[in-house]
Amino acid sequence: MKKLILILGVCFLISCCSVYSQTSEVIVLKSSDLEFISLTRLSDIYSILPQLDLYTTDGYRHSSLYGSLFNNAPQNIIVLINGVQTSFGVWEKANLSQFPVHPNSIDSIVIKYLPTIYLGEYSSGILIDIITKKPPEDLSLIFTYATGNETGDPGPYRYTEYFSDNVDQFGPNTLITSSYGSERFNLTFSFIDQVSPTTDPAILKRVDDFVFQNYQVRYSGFSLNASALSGFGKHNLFAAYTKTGQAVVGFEYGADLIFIDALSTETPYENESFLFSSGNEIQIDNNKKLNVNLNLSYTNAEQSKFSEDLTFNSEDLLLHSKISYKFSAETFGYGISSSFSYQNFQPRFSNSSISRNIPSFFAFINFHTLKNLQHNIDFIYRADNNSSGLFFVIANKYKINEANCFSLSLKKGNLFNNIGYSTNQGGINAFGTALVLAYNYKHSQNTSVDAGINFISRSNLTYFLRDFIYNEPGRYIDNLQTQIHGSVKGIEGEYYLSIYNRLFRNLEHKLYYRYKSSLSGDEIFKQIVARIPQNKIFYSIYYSPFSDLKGSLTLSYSSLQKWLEYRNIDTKDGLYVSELKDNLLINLSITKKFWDGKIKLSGMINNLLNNRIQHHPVGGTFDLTFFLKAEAELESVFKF
Amino acid sequence: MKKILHIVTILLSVLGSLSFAQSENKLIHISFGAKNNFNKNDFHHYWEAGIGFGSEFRFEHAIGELGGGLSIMRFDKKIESAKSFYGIDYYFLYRNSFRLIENAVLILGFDAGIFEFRFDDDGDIQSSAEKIEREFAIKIMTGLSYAFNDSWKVELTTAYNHIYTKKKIELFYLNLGLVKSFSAPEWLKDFLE
Repeated sequence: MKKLILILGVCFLISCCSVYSQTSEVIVLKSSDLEFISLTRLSDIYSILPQLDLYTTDGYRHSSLYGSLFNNAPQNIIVLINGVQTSFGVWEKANLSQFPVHPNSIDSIVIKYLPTIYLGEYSSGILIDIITKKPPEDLSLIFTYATGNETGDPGPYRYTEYFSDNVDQFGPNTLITSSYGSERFNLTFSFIDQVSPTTDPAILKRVDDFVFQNYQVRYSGFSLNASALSGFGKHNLFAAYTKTGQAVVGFEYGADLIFIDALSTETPYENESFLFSSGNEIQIDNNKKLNVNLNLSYTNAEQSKFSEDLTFNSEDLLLHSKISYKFSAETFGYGISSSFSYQNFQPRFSNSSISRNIPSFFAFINFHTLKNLQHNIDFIYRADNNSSGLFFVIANKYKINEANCFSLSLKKGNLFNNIGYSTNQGGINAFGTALVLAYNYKHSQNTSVDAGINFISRSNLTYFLRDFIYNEPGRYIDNLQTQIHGSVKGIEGEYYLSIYNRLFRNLEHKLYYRYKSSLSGDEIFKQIVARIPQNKIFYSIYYSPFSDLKGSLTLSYSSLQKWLEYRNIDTKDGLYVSELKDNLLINLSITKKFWDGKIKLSGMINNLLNNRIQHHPVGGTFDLTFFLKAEAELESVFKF
Repeated sequence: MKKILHIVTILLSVLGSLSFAQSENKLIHISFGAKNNFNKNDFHHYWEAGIGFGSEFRFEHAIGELGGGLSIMRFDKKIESAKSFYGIDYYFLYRNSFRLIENAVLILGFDAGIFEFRFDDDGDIQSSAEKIEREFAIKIMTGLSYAFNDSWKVELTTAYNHIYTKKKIELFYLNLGLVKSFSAPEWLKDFLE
């Protein structure tokens, strides 16, 4: 099967094919999408991204289902801002809820979800590039306050025989953004304060020994985003400080939590992170550009001040620098870049630090062989302390006419880790090949259809098969045994269909369907990837009947998921399950604007049908939740 | 699946039919009323509802009337182990009306908000967190409104209230209220648009 796919791919490339760097796996969310679903925190975008296979144990942190699946091929989430890497995350995991940017200051979000090369950055998992808006002229202010309540509290029955534990109250989340905009210089300052609950019975059931301080996670983040035009070109700077544990505002303490997949439990910790990302584009002439990017991040993670678990203490310093040269003409372009990353990861419990130097070289070329046939080739070489590897993308785009477009791309190479030090990655290189076929039909501005087939082959994978059970008396999840499976290989195939239609001037709707399954490979591979839902259906309606009123309704269906390592986890109370049954999630959001849009009031209901929604065998369940968001957006209030 | 498609079709039809031009927000309605809980179910083995009072603020919008409301009602315990409480309901509302005869209209509406349970402290409550419980609640209501004057109306409505506690609470109310309507001052009109 693998051979057949490769032959097909090569034949296609040789015979005609076309080239294009933006293949079908690119998703672009616009600011209007964010406005319709009314975000309370940035990770809410996942609710409208059925293309991504994610899990969450608490609704606050999300990880890729492939993230730590294979020991030597971690495929995590990386976050970029304005095309510049941020190295945002703690211990491989980037919690998008904690990325310190106000959703209203985002122009668009670019998401790639197959192993890829994007602007010279390699990603084996999910890549999220946050493109910020140019702020309004002069001084502006945005103040946002959001809170939510999950249903299922005991209410007055708490003093009767029907007593039950209280369930989650989300927030309050407070966001304040102040910006200054002018023709050549823009500056945006943001402050975010978040409270996230840790009261879900599924989590409390296994971490009774930890003291959950106030049953909440406290998070504060500050960021500064500046852009300037100079005689040389464009300059962007993003600097941020984030903190969890002791709140910046108020006195309440709330340790952050990280879910360790290998242990199947949470560790409470607190952390401080500094991020600095600078992107500079120097225009040499009309066709030539030089880009100089610098990214520095420092994360200090410590055990929660009420916990005695010392294993989590670490300092992580990441430095990433990149210089790129790019030539682009109408039908031809090329570029080269060289980057150097340095990491010093110091786990305090072992008194030894792990230092890594990661030089990499990237090149691309794009050209046309026919007027409507475009080709793009990306290539990256990356070396690590003790290994090196290659990854390349050959992408082709054939524009048949204004309405029809066909693209095919081949991606092949090593599956590197996305960001720095990995607790999982061993010395054995894993390999991946992806063949991506996409067809786009644009009937008019109001209707478009996307369809495609993707084949993803992975080989030389190492898998640690665990056998988790719940130890009732000890109140913890135990791993009975670990079997190591080496050189695992397999191919997954998916096809999808996406239809967008603007039914009326003020009403648009989208339908997305995806089928994904393992096609061939080792038996263990097929069992492992059974955690990925085979069928996904997503339907959304965005409706704005009046200029001051808008709303959205989204329906997400996901089919059965079987988790191999949790095959013996089922508990009598039904909190832990080995199979996540198919589920239907319906979310509703309504926003009313006041005072010509300066004030907005939003009400959101997640899980309208109050179905049992669970995204991980030992994760929390999400009942009907009501959110309320108030926003004051004062544009250009002070003129200089 | 068939059910979903059916729901989606209905939703689309409704949404499409609401695609009309926006009229100006001009009238403001403020109501005051009393309400009584008249149904009996499991909940009433534990508590007996008293007379409640409420007030609503509504403004006209092309889609109907939008606004917010607040009501309070006393619930006295019927068994010793339970606690008496005040039920405070604060909510967003939507109303639409259909003219029946000259001064009488039929009202249909929907509320969504928070129902707060404020327990009596009999000396055994140890922390402030134990004194209050809150839960998401919705209401569907219908009734009649009769205008006996240019700016005054009387409303008689009934409502079904669903409170999403773990053991769900379902209450039916009968409401009687007076509504005062007036033109919004310019500044308020600007604010509401």
